[in-house]
Amino acid sequence: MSAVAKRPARLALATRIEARVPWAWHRYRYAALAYGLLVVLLAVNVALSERFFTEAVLVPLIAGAAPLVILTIASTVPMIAGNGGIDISVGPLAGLVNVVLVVGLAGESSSPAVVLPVALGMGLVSGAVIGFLVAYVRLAPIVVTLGAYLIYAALAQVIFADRGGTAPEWLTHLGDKVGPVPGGFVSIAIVLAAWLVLSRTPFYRYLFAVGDGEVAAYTAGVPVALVRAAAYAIAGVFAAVAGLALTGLIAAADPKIGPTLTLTAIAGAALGGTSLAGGRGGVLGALAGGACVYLIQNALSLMGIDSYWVTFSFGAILVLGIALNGLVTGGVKRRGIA
Amino acid sequence: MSLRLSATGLGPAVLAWLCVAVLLIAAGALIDGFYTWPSIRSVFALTAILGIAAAGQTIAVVMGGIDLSIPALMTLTAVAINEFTGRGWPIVPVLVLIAVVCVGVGALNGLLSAVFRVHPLIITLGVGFMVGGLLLAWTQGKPEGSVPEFITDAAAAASTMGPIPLPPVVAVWAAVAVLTIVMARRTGFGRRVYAYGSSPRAAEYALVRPRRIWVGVFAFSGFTAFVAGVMLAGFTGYGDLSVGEPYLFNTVAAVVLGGTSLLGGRGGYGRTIAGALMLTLAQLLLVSQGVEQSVQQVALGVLIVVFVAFYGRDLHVRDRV
Repeated sequence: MSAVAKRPARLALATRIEARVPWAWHRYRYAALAYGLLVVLLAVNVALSERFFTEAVLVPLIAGAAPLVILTIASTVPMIAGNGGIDISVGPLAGLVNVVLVVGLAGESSSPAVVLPVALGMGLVSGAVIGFLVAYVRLAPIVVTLGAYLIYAALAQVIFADRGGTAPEWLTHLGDKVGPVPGGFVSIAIVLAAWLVLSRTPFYRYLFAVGDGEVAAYTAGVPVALVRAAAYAIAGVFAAVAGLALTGLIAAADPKIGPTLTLTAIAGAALGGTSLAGGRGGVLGALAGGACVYLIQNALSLMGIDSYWVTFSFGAILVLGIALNGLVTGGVKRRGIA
Repeated sequence: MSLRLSATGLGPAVLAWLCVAVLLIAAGALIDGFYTWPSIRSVFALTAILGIAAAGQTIAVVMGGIDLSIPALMTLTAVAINEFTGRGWPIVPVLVLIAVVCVGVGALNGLLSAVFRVHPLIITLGVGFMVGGLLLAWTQGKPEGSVPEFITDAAAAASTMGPIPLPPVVAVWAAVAVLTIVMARRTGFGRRVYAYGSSPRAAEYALVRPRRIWVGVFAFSGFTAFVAGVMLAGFTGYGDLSVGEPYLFNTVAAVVLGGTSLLGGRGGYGRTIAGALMLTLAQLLLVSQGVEQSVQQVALGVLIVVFVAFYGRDLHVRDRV
């Protein structure tokens, strides 16, 4: 029978690449589309803007992208943990941190020794409470984080209804430059460094094990509930960093921005190759996915496209990108959704 | 269900209706003249639109999905009714046209999710953005027009249907409810939706065709979003571009408060009716106590989590091994 065994006429792109670089491809192919799209979008943005590679263009661009990119990373972590894992409260949490920093902590005069513990503490407490409710009380993540979304958005409004106030001077460097480095890079690098440290701990493997199949992970002795709770706590801390970046960017308090970032962050996470089914994806993909989402919006506004079409194009690129993600990178698990 | 799902041992549907009863008693005690017909009637009228929109959401959740394009389709319906009526088009073909578009968009949601095997949360979110953007471009951000009088009358809490002292919107809700429950419990399609929601793999072995389920479920959700949008147009009397927004999370909240599991396969529309009533009653109570808008929102967020903690809990992983 084997003499004339049929050979597939053409191997799938994924398989061909895997034959060359098995290790890296296996580990990072989930993000292949996001990085491909990132290159294209960067090229489009370079072509559209005059003097793209100048400080005057790049520094505000990176600072503007930072809150969204960090929130994308934040929302990715609970998604990896699977079982319907999602955190839609990250945007309003960042907004609440922003308002508390500017209004609650006496604005301009407050020192890093006060601001940083308060901001990161807010993120940690919020994330820990959500993680406890999801992992130990076993409530549906979308419901718990929806409740948190409503609470944080409203609290920010209660504390401060308008845009105004003054951010601490040292924090506004994040919206501009820290020494020679664009401030946006600094805040993103902090989050990436934290994730790099985490990825050297058993937690990292446990997280993917839980997301891939919690029953198998549980049977193998992984502390499933603890890992899942930790995923939300990490998302909370990262969201607080996004709040810091947002404060540096707008140099004021604005309770209206935070909630608008949640859905785009989740879109970025999905574009970055992270599956809502869990166990597949990662922070490097989220980095590219979040950057893509920002660059899409930036390119559309550079093109002078009627702002009414921006929303449409954004949705279309999202749907197309996600669909292609499944096709190009392959290996999408077939199983119960949500 | 032999496994214990809640601390009390009662089923989620029973607990949801118990919560409604508690809220009704609280409202009676705290609001003067709550137990009068006009006030009961307006509770029903207020809940009706949410209830209709949540019908599609319920079926989507039972299948193991979620539909975040409902608010976009409701806005589309409300704005389109306004625009076309403002241009003097006859209402019946306009309604048919909008219904076809809504069902088509819903079917597209299902088809894209099924073919590309992507979570419907992301697909419906993206499609929702697209619909919202098209509406913005079409109306140039300033929708105009008017709503035909019979639709405004249908949605007004004070109107009646001849001798029956209920506004037509409640009758529409009842019709949608009967349609949804019969479809879910008495048709082959409904049975397949539950089977697929319980276990997509097992359902496929039983020759359930996934794509048909996905397309059918989301097309149905598009249809109920259309009906809810018509009523919303009547209720507000104008078509604002953010008119559907509250229904993004409210429909999910109603479904989950009712006790339908987001993991799929368990629950039904009867529970969602309880969930929708709970949301309306809780909101009414807060308003009646003169609670400020933003504090209301905080209280609602806490309430949702607390209620769900009573009976919406998932199984421990060791019980799933």
